[in-house]
Amino acid sequence: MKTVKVLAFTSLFWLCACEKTEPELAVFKEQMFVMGTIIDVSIYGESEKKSQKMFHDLLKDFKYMQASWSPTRKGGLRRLNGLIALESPFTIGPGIKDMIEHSTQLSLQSEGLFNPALGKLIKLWKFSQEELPKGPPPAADAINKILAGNPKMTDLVITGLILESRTPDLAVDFGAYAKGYGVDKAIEYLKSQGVHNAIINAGGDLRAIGSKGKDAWHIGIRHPRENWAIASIKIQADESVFTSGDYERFYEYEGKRYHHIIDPRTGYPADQSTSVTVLHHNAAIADAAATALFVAGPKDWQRIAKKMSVTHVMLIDKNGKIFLTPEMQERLQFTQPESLDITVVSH
Amino acid sequence: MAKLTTADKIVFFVAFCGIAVLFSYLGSSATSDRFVNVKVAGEDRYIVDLHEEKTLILAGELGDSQLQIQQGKIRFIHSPCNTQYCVRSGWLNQTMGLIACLPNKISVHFSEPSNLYDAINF
Amino acid sequence: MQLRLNPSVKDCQIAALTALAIGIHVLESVLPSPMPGIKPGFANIVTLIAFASYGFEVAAWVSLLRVLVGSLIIGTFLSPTFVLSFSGAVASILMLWVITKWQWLNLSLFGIALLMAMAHMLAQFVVVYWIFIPHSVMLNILPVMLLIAMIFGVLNGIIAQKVNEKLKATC
Repeated sequence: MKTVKVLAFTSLFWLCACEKTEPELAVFKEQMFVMGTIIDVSIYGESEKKSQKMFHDLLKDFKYMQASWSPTRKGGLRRLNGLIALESPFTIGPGIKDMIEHSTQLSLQSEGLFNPALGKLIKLWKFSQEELPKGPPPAADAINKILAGNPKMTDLVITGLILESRTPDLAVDFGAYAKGYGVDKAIEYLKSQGVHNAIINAGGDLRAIGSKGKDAWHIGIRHPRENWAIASIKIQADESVFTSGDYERFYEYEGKRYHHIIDPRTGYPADQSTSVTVLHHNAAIADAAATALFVAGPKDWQRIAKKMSVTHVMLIDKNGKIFLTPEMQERLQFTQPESLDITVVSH
Repeated sequence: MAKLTTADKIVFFVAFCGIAVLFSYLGSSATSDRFVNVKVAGEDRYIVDLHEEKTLILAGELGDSQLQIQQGKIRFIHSPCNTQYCVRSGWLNQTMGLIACLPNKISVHFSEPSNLYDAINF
Repeated sequence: MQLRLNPSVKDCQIAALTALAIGIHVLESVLPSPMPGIKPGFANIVTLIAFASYGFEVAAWVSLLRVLVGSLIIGTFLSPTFVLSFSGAVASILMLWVITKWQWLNLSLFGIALLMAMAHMLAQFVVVYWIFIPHSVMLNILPVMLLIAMIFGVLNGIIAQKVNEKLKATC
């Protein structure tokens, strides 16, 4: 009888040892204000405490990135551009080397439509500073002078960790690439901490990994002109959604809209597109591709997309007409398809 | 079953009525869309009740932004930014979940987001 | 030197009932619950029976000891869960004390169980609101929580009543 009692009592303890797996039903979601925009971090399946700690680490990382890559603030990129202008070789950090090499490759694939070497042109248009310009647009002479120099990423020659620029007219601006690169780094950090399900949304451009338990992440795509979702997409593995639009950074002067996506061929804002949305695994590639394809416009986007190995694209032209690749059509769900002019292109 | 005393029945009745009253009082206001969080420079600053019609003036990085609360909704009506993107966004709705004046570092979202989308791409 | 404890009859009563209450409490904690804080609280039946058979003091000890030792066993001692359990227990015991002072009310275990459950839930709610989530949106779930407390309180009261009758019949 005594043994029975002892057994009964100890089995009680074993019952307690059964891990009460309280499923994390809630998604940890916090916002930070950095890099001139709101960055939303969503994490699923981790404890509140761990998520908070990772969130704060990410905030520190993004602040550091902001300092390094700002062309205007004192930091890595400003130093780089300053040294390029001095016309002699200098050492660079491995981080910047990585970015330069990768973005050079993307620039070539995009036939130069994505060209971070045009920092001087961007500076002329004043879109990279924190406060938006009001106009008037820069003089044609100034624009042409820069274009004449024809600065390209291939003008930067790297040997080991030494960089030499073939022309002093070159300044690097990672505006169309840094956000993607930063988001990739942030996701890598989360993965290194054992996170399987998360979204990093940097001012509307995001990368999502895993899912929300049984449900896929449900991403809404904002209409370029109005405050509702024109389409939505479900993400369940590891994908990035990046959109380049003419509504993000712009000013109007004398009735004309000037936005921040400059066509490297003309030196003026590309005007054939309203927005381009790209779905791709790598956020940095999605970022560069969205910009390049916006510039390419309805005429050339398919060709450039193929060269950049980007298969899921939606382009909305200046008249609101929507073009999709068949792969993108499979993934996107339009909220009001009857009211839209949609064309699915063939290969 | 043993006898239920009169006192028991009274207690039960009172508790039942009390809870019913609470239900009706709180159920009448659509509480999920009622409260919004206002953040300045990423920090939670205010929780605002959309049932009280008024105009909010908030000091941000560039200056004062004005928000209007009317008929249970909120929107930016004035802001010192260049693009006026915030004003153009119109009323805050659960689909987009957020209105913000980024240059002025002011953002508004529902205290209880209905989570139609986990994130918005734009 | 051997330590000699001389437990009184009351001590034995408390110990036995508390052990039973702890057992039920721990077993119940293994069951999944739809929302944190929603539990049938069957261990309260032991508290009620203790009250009916041995009076207020025994019931109070059983309840408070149960929460304390239960949390040690489960591993939630001094955690927010414990703070809530404890506040609830204290409040329901206070309610019981008030009821004993107002004997003229002539409540059966049924009514007592109901009042104790409501006090328990209300106290927990106040603690959550003041300490953990000072947000008026919490008021939304108050009626739901109180309703659940009422339902389980009534259930526990019925069971306690039945057990008590059986005890009275056999003893």
